[in-house]
Amino acid sequence: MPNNLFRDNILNIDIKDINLADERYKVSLSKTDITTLANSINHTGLLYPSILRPADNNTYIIVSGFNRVSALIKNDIPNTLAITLSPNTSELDCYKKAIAAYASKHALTHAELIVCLKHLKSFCDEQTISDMSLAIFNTQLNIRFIKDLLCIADMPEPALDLIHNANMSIKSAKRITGFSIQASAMFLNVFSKIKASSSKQLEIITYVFEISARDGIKPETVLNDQNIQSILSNTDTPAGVKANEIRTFLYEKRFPSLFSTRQKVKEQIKALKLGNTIKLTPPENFEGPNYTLSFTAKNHKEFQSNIQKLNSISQNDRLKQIFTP
Amino acid sequence: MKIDTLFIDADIPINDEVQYIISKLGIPPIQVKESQFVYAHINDAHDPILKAKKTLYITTNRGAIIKECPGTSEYTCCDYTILHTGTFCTMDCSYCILQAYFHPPVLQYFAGLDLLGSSLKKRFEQDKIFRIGTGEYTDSLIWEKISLMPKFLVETFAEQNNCVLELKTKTTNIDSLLPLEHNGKTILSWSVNTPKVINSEEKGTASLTARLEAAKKSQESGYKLAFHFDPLVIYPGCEQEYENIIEQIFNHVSPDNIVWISIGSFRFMPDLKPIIQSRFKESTLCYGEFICGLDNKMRYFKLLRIALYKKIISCIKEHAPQVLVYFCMEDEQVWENCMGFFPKKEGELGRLLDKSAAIHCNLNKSLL
Repeated sequence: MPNNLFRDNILNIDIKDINLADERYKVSLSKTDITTLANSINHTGLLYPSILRPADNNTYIIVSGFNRVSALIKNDIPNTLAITLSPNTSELDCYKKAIAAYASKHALTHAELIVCLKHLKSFCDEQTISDMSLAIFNTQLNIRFIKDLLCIADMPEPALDLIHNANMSIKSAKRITGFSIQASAMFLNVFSKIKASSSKQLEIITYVFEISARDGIKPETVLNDQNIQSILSNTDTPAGVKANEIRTFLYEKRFPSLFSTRQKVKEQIKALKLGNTIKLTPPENFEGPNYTLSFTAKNHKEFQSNIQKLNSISQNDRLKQIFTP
Repeated sequence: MKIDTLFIDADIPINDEVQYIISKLGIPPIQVKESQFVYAHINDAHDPILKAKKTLYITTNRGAIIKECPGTSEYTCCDYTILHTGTFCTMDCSYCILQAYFHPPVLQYFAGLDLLGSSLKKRFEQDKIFRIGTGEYTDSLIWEKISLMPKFLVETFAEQNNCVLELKTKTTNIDSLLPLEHNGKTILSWSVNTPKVINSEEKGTASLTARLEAAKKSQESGYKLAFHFDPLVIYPGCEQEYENIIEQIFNHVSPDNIVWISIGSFRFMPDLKPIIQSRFKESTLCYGEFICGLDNKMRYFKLLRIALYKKIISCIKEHAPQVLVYFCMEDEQVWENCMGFFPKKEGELGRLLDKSAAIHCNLNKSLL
């Protein structure tokens, strides 16, 4: 058997022999426009060769360089120099090379990390991954973080897409893994249709969990509520507004008495017609003893007008009711 | 929870007090030179809190034996005096703050009845009424089955006239106390709750009926009584169930023997919530309408508290208009709304309680 079968070589490979369909070693989850890269190769040539693994029937699988090969095809270049791995390179080593090659140039997103860790986990435990993480990922990963990400790795689609596109935080994803598959799927559906910060996502998850625990119903029943579904299906509402509408709806369900008191007091304050310059604020959650009254005045006339307004409402029954919600 | 491990500080003499505990538990003691050994034993467990409930550590109190209840400035405190005889509990109430209060939680018995006696003597010599209790960091009567301490305290308090001892419990461990010459200076008190809350949240405690039967027996032995509706838990239909408790109390005991009844709704440090969620998965306790109080503890939304308090107070007043009812840690608005008055002046609530203690327990009234 010739020597080059046992070690990596730089060989000139026919592009047609490269199997583009096999993306098992692909790390990047981003869809890249390769026009710029193709132009660059046209002008300066290929600076970094791809890494290929020999496969059956004299074909090759890409370990690293998916975009480079695509750019070469776009440029109608029939062959290329490539680092060709020895046929007996282990699957684990291929993954390690694929990750290291990518991580040396780009910071991996959480979703990409999850994909990579899932691959590595089929060959080694979390401790081993953590030990070699600096060499492979170009950053130290602690065991707890690895475990958290692996836990998320088993979530159904479109979890990874949502994480990759920043529509779902790692914290939220981790919380969702604690729910049933059906409930997880419903959360993913919600997050694919709204735009919310991590803290707002966690608030939604917490409310759903607590409402379902309190009422003895499934979380998916809470999420299946007609009001939520109606908010989600409204195509005219921006995703950020939908998130706030769902939060408000869930808050009302979670804190019905507090919510109705707030609404009632808000209406009572509104009915006083205090105008834009006077503001009456009840204590936070109606717990503390003090209501706050503030007003702004640009001049003495406005000041007097505010005082007159306050005098006129001081005996108003509505005002008295506000102080005894 | 049955105690299965017993640690004793190596420098504690195995005298009658300690020997009594060893013989009652019937398990070989392990002497330790460092408390770290006990902490490690507890912390290494899968559920350290549960482990701590089964592990008794006989040690000495290295801090203050008698101290004032800390309270908070935002809510009115009853100015209670705490007798620090031990920590933690063998029962397993989901809402118990002691789970989050101690790091790690350790079931400690502070040995040294002589030291306890001398510390109390200093209070007994003062010209002031003190209401002293052991139920702040532990249940007062879990110790009755295994130690001489409750008996010692009842007999010690019987010999003076300015302090009253309150032994607060969810047990029925009163048998050894019944024949004692208590001289009326000990109040036996029970935390009460609805059967629903007892079944779901107060694991290992006595049933409501058993508690009330124990109260009745105590009354027959001449003890004065107190009841604590704390923590009140708000859920659909709870009002009627709390009213049922009141009815049952007065079916068992005479209002004349009740020194006070306290009322407080469930409140908790935020740190307790994940503990309840993790240790009591079936509990729905944390999912009430809680808001962050002025003392940074989570409390029920005030209007819900007031609504329940009003029902309970009205029911108590119907049965026993003369019994002193007070709030544990509530504010002026709640007092005014529910009681029609507010003990505004500093120490005013304490003085009301002192007066009731003096009348019921025959303390030196010139000290009021």
